[in-house]
Amino acid sequence: MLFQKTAHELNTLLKAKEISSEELTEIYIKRIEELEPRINAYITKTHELAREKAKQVDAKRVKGEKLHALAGIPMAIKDNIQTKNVLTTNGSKMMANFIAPYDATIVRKLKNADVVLLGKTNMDEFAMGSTTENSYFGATKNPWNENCVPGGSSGGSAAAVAAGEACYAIGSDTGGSIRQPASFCGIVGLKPTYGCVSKYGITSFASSMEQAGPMTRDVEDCALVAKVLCGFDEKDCMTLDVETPDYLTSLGKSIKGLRIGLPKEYFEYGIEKQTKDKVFAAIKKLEELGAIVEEISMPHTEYALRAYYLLAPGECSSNMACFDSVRYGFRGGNMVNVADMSRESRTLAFGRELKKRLMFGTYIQREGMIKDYFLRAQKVRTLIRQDFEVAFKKYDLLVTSTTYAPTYEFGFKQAEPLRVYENDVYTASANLADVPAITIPCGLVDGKPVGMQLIGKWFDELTLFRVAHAFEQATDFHSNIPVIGGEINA
Amino acid sequence: MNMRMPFSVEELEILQALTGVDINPQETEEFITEYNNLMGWLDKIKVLDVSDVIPTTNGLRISNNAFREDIIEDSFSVEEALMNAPEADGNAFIVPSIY
Repeated sequence: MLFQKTAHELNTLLKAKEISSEELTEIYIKRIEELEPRINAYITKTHELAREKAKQVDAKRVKGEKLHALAGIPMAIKDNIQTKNVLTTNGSKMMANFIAPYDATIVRKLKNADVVLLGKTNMDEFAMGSTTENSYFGATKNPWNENCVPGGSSGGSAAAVAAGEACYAIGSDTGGSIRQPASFCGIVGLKPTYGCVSKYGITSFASSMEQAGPMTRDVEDCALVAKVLCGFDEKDCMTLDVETPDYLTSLGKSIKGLRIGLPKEYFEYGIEKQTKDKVFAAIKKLEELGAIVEEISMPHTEYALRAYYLLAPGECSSNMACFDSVRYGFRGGNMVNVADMSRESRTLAFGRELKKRLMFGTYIQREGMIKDYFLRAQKVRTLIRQDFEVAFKKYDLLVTSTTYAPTYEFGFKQAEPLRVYENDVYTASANLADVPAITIPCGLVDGKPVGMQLIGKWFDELTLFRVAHAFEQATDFHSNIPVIGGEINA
Repeated sequence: MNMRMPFSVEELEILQALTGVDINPQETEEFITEYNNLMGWLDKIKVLDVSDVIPTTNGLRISNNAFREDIIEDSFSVEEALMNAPEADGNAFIVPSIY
């Protein structure tokens, strides 16, 4: 089925003129129309724009213009990324009618590569959550099991790719929001090094930790899309002015002799046995491929998640102040004066989890609290970073599970809120230390995907792609495809 | 090390005023329980001795201010600036009385 093919496979077909972008786009649109009533991966569909773009790309191809490898391939973008003249809701009632007046830098780059945008994907409100249950537009279902969450906050992006409703998608990751849903939906997801990808035009949640990145069917697509996204941007002073390597050059190389650290603490936090078994089987495969895997200690790991759940709400409570219903956003309530108008509008428009985090982030920065909590968390962040510095003196990369278990049923969050937070323990450390991390599928447990996470040195995405690709080529987990509603996907 | 402020209805009222959001009595009750649970879990961070540790505000410690030449570049038109305004009139955003 064409909707199950990777971008590089589709590019080969497009180049050989075996299919046109218009035909391909129609296939995806049909797929979306069929599945969306059940999956709800998209908040906004941009099918007319997609058709128009596909037609333009086909015309360019006919003329013999040199095209990017992603040109004419249908994809999706998370809805916290500004897309000019398209609704950009952030999964919130607050921004439900907001039409972005400009493109995020990464959207501009993707447009320059002539990608075909199918729509904007569902997410937890303002990226706060790990299930999509916090979306104003309803939760997204996991294509592998519709009773289960797709993960989050980039759950719509992950589900769209897994269900064949987009060839690939863009997500954003503040504490695991690309990697956890990618793992839950059985696809590849990369959080690049902080400073690689411009945040200009991406709604700020925790500015010091978030990065956008690719969510794809395989590692080669991930490398291809990452190359488009990464690079210095004068509009984001937190991007680093370093040349982005051609990530594709890392593919197909041997991993013999590479030193991989296995942080023992990551396997001590209630990881479920079957998940652990799959990840350890994957690690064994890496050893068979010639890598040297050794257990190491990262002693501050147990504090990482705590630091994350202090810093992220703290930063978010500042970032959310701009949603005051003056220049944009929902306005409602009994408006006596401008302060009341803003407060009533926020009260009516913000969801429960967002309010909870906003108030909590404010609490831990109150006088008498900030020193013991927020500032302490920033110091703990230094210790986490130092753990990585020590580890990377001896090892080329680290390997962990991406989550402690596969996806779980809707409603679990309400019953076990801390357990859901704890699922971020594997991913949040990379955000705190700003190192790159990739998740790749490494098997199924009870029909649900499990992901292995590789964590690399700062700006060393090349090694991540190299190892992830070697693993992928030696296994066939990435070819597992969900069977949706009894259909047989040959 | 100070004792942390306990979660109470009064404390949550202060937080609502500071954040500019209101919650209902049921949410107040639920948040107090959830915050207490969360803080019980987070408090473990206090056992670490961090007295000599420099805080990290971002992992890369980037501080490259982005400068550019002082040249007028394209910016939003009035129409673009106002296109998402809840209420607008001519060149202005309309809001209720500021008092």
